[in-house]
Amino acid sequence: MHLGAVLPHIASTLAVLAAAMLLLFALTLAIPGDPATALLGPRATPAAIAAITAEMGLDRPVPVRLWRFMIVLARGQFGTDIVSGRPIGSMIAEVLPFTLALAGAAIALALALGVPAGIYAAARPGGLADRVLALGSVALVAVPNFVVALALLLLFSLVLHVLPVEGAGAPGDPLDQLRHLVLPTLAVGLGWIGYVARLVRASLIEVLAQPYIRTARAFGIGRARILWVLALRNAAIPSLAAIGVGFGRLLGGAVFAEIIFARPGLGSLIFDAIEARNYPVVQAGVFVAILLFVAANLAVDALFLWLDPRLRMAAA
Amino acid sequence: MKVLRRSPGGSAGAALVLSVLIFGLLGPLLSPYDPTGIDVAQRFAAPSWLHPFGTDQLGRDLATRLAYATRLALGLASGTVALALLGGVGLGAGTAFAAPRLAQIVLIGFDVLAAFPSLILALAIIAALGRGIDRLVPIIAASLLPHFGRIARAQALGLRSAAFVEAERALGASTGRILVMHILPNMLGPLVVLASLDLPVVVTLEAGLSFLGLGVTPPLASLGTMLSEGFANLIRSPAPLLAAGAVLVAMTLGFSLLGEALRDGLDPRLRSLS
Repeated sequence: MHLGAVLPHIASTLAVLAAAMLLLFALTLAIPGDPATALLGPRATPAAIAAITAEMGLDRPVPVRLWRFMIVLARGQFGTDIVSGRPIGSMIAEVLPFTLALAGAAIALALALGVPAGIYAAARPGGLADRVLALGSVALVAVPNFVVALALLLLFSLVLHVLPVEGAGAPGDPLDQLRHLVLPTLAVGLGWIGYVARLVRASLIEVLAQPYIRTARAFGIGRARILWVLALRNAAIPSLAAIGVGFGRLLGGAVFAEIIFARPGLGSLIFDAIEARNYPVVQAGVFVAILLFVAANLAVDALFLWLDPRLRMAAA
Repeated sequence: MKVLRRSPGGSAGAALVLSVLIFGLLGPLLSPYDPTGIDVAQRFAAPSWLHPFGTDQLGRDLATRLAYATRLALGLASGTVALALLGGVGLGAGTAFAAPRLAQIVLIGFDVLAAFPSLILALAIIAALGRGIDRLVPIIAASLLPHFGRIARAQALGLRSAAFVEAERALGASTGRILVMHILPNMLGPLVVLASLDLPVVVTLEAGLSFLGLGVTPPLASLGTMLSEGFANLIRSPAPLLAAGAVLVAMTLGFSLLGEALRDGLDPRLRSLS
């Protein structure tokens, strides 16, 4: 792949990350009082506040603080958590695999069910299956994911008792961890099934109307091969783009699933830090979440160039 | 009306929206109870003639609280979307007529704003500034703004070279007059339809943040706070959780179905914009 083709994407990614750093830093200036007082609460002694202020570097001038903040984030070191005394970076590294597993499982679920459903509907537009899918997918997309999570929790904790509803499973027991992953994945991924199905259907119908498909048909290529191979490759591009954009919503969904199912993860880490008014941990967690989001979009952009030779030609 | 007759999903959506509107607008007026009135003797009362949905953990009438929460959600959602629409259209249409360099800066701003996952961004801002409706509305509006801004820009660019605009310019009209009198009225229709599709998104975000305890502050009744209170008292009674969840789903589902039917019925080309 041409470096020149990827360069603009990398540049815009860096711009977004810089903007995120600036915003996160500006917010620390906007905290009523200051982060140290917010952390320690109203009954802290002046000596304790002064000690924490010095430890967090809050006594330095604003430009110095901004510079140090950006250097630290760019290096991926987030400093030491004042509350637990542990490096914030390792706190995040500890919970990140749980969030990544949840996000990956949700995307896999959405693709596994959404793509075939979209193809099936596009093959017979206007048919009964298509109309049922159209309504069903709106319903799946429209129901808030935390309501799905609550409904699953209610169903499985009160009625079904088949799957665990709390935690992430015993460490070192992959089967148990997998069982704990099922309900959160359903909660996050259910809406995505409808989303993916609609995208695939819409772009497939557009692609099927193009002349090259008619040519393929004239050459006697089978219906299944045209639909699943020739058309799908082109139809996949807009769907992929939407998945990149939707990844942010997926992370949002993971926050709710992690809190409702009491699962460790980036979302519950950020949430607990907000509750404890531990702003440095909130900052680091939010920055990593934004990093994940832009990385997902960069990966999708790179995937486009690989899938679509026209884009490669245009960029080169 | 003709649009709805052709689409079963649209009519179902219209029925849901209508019932939600009636419930949210008339409920608070008709209810004899105070939504924050505590009656500890009546905690977790089962549904009865006096309390059609029962009561919550503080003995407050659930039906009344739900009606107030519905009204709040309707008001917040329409206010937020209106704010985003206003800002997005102003900035977006403005870029079509502004100096290219200035337009570029605004467009980069849209890109950066759109590049943040909205819930995560809201978490960061609320963590720093504290919760409350006055924070919630601008944060959510800002996250929707780039979407409207880009569409408004595309439409304004298209209209800029339309024959009637050229004619107006030849007659000596100023850019401001052309923008307000000619461009805006012509692009508003499709944008309003697209905006209606964002209503369920805003309702969901508001309820979600309030569910986390980061949005609407208790004792004010909101669907999100009612869900989280129901969640906390799940073992005593699942009714509050179920009732709040049902109203929230009716609202998001209704607005989505109706919005999609309107969009497809009025202008199929809009499908590609949203």
